[in-house]
Amino acid sequence: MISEITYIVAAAMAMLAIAVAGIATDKHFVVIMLAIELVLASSTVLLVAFFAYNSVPNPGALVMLISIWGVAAVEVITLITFYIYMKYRDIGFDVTKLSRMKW
Amino acid sequence: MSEIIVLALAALLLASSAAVFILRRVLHAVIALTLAFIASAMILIYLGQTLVALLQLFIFVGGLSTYLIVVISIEDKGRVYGNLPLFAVVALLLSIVLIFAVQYLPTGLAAAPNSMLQTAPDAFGAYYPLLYMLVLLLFSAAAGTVLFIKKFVKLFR
Repeated sequence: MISEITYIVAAAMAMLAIAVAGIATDKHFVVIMLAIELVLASSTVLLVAFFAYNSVPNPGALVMLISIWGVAAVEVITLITFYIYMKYRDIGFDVTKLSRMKW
Repeated sequence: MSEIIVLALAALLLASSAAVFILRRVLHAVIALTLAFIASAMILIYLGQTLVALLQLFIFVGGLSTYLIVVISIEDKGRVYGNLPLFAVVALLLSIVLIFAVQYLPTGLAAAPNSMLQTAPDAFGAYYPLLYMLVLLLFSAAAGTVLFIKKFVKLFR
């Protein structure tokens, strides 16, 4: 089982690396927000893996997990709000040009 | 046999995560993200946390992904790629660095997986103010969205 938990942790680490690389290299606003969702999903897998095989399980892990889900939900709400706003105002999704947004 | 299952799930997870950045249309990227959520839920089932996996499926796949797919499919055009070679190099280097740290995992692991459900009474008893704050965060995000769109987008008028 130890080798399998190592594979799962390694996969979650690689998923985190892919998401961070995507944030660093992509310019599309929506894709960057999706990358943040990937970061949250990888942290979920890591948290549950460490909780499941910890010799002294910490009850706070469940609250941490619910907090991660809550932050992910709020992030999607924010993404959709800005998506509708940027579509309506005909603002491009290139994050390097977001300084053109005016209130 | 179980190693093959874990490796297959990890491959699905990584392939769908990379597809988010490789696919040209944003809608396809969202579908790839949904697949990554499903793969991560399957890994949670493998870890013995069936209820957590079910909740993850309800929240991420049933809620967030459906919401994203519906909104983004209204008007989705092709997008300009990011820098794909640079993405591949950065992802590979970061993966190597992060996976290198896995060898320092503690060795005193539990023989059988702990159940998250069994810790629920302790968790909710000790940390309930945090959960109230989380509900407040969700409510304020939803209310802020409605106010923002009503003020800046003439969609609901």
